[in-house]
Amino acid sequence: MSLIKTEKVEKIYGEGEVRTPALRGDSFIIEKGEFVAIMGPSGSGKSTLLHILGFLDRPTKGKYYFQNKSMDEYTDDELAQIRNEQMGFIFQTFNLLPRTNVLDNVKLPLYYSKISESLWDKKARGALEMVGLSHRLKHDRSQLSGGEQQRVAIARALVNEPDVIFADEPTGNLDSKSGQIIMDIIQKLNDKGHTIIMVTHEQYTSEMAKRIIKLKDGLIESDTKVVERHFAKEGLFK
Amino acid sequence: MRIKHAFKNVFIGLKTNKSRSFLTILGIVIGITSIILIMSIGQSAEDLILNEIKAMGGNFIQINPGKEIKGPQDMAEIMFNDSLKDRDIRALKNKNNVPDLEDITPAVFVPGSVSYRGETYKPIIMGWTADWMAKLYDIYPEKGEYFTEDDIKSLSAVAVIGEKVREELFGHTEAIGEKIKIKDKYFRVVAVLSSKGQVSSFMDVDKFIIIPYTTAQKYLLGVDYYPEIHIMAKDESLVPGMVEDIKITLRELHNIDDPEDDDFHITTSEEMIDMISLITGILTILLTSVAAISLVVGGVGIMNIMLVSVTEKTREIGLRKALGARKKDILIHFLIESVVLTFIGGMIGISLGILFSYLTSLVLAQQVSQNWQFAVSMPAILLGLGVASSVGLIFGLYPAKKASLKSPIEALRYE
Repeated sequence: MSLIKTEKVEKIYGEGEVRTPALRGDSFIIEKGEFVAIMGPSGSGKSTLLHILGFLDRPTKGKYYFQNKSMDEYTDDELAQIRNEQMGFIFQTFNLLPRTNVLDNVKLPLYYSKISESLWDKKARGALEMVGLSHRLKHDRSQLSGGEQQRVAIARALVNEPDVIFADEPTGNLDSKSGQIIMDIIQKLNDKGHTIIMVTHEQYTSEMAKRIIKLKDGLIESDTKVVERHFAKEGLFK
Repeated sequence: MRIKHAFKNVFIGLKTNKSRSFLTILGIVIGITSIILIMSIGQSAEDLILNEIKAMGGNFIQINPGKEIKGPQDMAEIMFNDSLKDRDIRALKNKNNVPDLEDITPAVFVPGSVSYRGETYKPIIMGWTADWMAKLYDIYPEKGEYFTEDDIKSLSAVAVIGEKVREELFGHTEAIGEKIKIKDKYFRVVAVLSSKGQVSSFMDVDKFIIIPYTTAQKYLLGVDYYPEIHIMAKDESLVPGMVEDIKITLRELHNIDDPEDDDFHITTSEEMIDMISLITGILTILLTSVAAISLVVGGVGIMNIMLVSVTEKTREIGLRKALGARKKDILIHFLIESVVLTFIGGMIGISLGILFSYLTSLVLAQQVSQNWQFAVSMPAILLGLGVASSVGLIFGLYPAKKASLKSPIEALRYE
């Protein structure tokens, strides 16, 4: 049983004369425990693909199976529940809530889950400990550096213990030192068994994954295993 | 738990946008304030008048000529209708006709002013039986004595004057025994009423001059009919039976077969209470409806600002949806925001309404009647909160629905 399977997934924006295809019908499979980097120049459709895989958007054509069930069979609310319970998201711009402290930001997915409220605090603290931010629980977004904000966002993605974590340019807005810390955390999460699907346009960062899917004009250009994998903990990249 | 979280979030938002939140709810505040104010004043006015009627006693009834007053044109009919005369008084006094009658007096109203040695004053001149002042309102002369039945029978030119009348005409000099002039006729002052101020919102006894009704009728007005007859029953419980006796007596006397043709009408204090309640009730509803319009305007303001809020929070909505929020969660989130806004508006409005009602009651107690009392109507408060919250719910629904239907990815991408 594969975790993710796409069959000729197409995504077309606009209608009629202004139809712009973003994805043009490729198929692939991602197994549980993989660490996949999706690469490609801007406009190649990598973000669109990530959004569809993360149930944030529906394909125009083709089939997407998540845990062997087609996305077509889910209602919007069911998609929301799967996003909540089985998926975690890390964004380039962190997307933390303003005027809300670190702990409450991490708790956000729990509000929409079936997990009992008595466990929320413990879970959120646990996730923050994993990203090394236990000392910043009551801080506001504005009091944190970019790297710290992204670590909070990772803790938020982790708090529901998802099967798969989607990361959209997680280091894109960070300096290299912070980026290294973030990538180290992501690699560790993969070691613990989380499937990671990460969009990046940096060659070096992509080589921290185990597999690279390169997109060009909405089609897969190459799908390769990383032979010489980089490890973020071994030092600054580049 | 989600609700708790949503509330927390709303309050964070309100705190951040303090002035905007305040301006948004201003319409609601004004609307609710007006409703509370109007309903409270209405309540006070009703209480005041009803208490006055009750103070006269449940055994009091009055008879006026003509049909029941249904409009202004009927008022004129009372003034100039001559169906009630002395023979009616005599017939009603007859124990065989109306056994439960305790006392009866006609009342005659004389327009005009009074003067004494160049000082002129415009009092309320009433031809009546003076000791009814004591019977109805417990008011006794400060000085002198009320005129008697003999004075009434002999058409004496005597007058009982109120404190204000005495002050205006006599100042510091003695009034008793002096002759005052009403319509070119001289009247001897026999008593000055103790100052009670306004016993009711209809009558300020201090401005009264009471003369024998016979004198007023024949000597001053030159008529032989009465515009009003006052009757007291032996007991409140006997009033309904007495009213029937009076009707039978008067119909017989006036040769009326069909009650539709009655040339008189009887008002009991109970009916007065009903009528006053009806009038103040209608007025209150009318004014409240006008105030309610401002709530609709306020509601549109709420809707406007909620749409702004939804647009501002587009990315947040996207994030929440990405993290697992369903349509319902987003809908509830924004509904809570608008209801909390209007509810706070309602609370402020109620507080201001009560404050203004209190201040108004202070002024009205000075200007209208000492008996004016500050009353807060509980239904008004509940209505205010209910209406404010419903306004939030109704006008918040569209923006909230709009927010809940946003696609997560489009919302996340929103700049």
